[in-house]
Amino acid sequence: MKLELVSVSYRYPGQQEYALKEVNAVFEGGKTYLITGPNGAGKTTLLLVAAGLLKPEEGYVTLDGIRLDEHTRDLRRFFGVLFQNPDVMLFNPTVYDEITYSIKQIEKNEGLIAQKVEELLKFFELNKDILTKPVYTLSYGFKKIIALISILIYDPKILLLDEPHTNLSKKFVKKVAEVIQTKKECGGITIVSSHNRRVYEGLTDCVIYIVNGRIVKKTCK
Amino acid sequence: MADTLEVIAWGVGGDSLKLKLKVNNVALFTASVMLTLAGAYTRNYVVKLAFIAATALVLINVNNVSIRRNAVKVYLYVCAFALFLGLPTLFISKNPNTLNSILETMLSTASATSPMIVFIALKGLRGVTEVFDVISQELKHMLNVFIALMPKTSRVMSDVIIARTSRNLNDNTRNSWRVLTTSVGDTLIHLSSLAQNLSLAIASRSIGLSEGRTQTLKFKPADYLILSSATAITFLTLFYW
Repeated sequence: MKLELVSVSYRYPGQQEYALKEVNAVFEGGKTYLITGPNGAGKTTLLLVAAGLLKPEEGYVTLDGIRLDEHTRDLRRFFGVLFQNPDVMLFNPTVYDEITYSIKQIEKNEGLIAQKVEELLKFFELNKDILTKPVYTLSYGFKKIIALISILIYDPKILLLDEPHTNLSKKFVKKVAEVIQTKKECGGITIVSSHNRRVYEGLTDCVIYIVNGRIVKKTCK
Repeated sequence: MADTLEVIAWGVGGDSLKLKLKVNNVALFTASVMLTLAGAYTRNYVVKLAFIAATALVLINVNNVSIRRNAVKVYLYVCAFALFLGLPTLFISKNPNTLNSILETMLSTASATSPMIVFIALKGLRGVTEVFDVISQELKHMLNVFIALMPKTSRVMSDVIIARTSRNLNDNTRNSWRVLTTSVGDTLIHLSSLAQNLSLAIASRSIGLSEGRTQTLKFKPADYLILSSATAITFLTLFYW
């Protein structure tokens, strides 16, 4: 599996400056990448462009040679994007609805869906009672975990995580690390965006340093 | 406000549904639109009051305190708006019937709102999006973003107001007004970015949506019964009662 960004430039509508400028990057299966850099460097934009959610102004993104802009809908199930602010991801009435929102679109077997939900709750050591709670009553940390579970449930091959550890308790930080490690062992790609390098030191294979929308340094193990 | 928007976005829905509705959303929505017309344009006070009474009966049966409380809030909002619009005429017009006219407007507004209050209470605004699913999934998707954004709007605004009020060391009226007036514009700016992110998040999680796919409309006998009853009531209300 190979995700490739070819001379990608992106500018937000109405903006003069480029959020990404001529970015070339290759992400390979079985590896974990950390995108780091100062605030406003373009880390989140890079994730969104790599997921095919933002269409580059110049250049293109390919997954195993298939251009994302031409097959966005077909390829979407291969990507799992965790947004920095979980509030923007959650819009269903209960936690169960939220978790099953995506998988219900591709899987009709309710029993199988319920089983997957149970497995994930067990993994994150969450009580079943949480499933019936309205999402807006949860704390920020729990919202983030629910948002993560809602993408893990359909087992995307590529995980794009934007500041996944922020506001999480130690227990959940450990769990997220386990998720990243498992994805790596399964041959998937994980791209983490964060300005905190220390948290991901042992987990990542490559660190990409981005400043003002340009990749300035890339170090791989 | 946030609570009201949250409740009307979802309706009774989900596991808390005590009243098992086996009626198609499209049938229920169409019936509600017809009854709204009847409630708005009838000149008969008894019919108007009957609409409000019927709504009250449904809400009592819903067995959900939050829904009932918020339905009452919606009534209060619309009546307050009707009063607000009619109030200046009390000072402009010398007609002794002006007060009656204002009260009539308030009654018409309340009766016209009633069918939709019942629909929203039972199905939520999400029920409305299900209706549009018959036309286009894209349209449903857009409406879902809009509805998800509504409760968030009031929460963002209250957060902005709370955060700024906490910075008011001298809590006088002038400073409070400064906080309130600037909050409106800034909330809109915050919401613009929230809406863009929400739209991207929904798109990223819509892994099984295919362009042009729509739900097939399937009516059951109960749907036909509701539609024919609503048509009959609307027809009788507008032309005979």
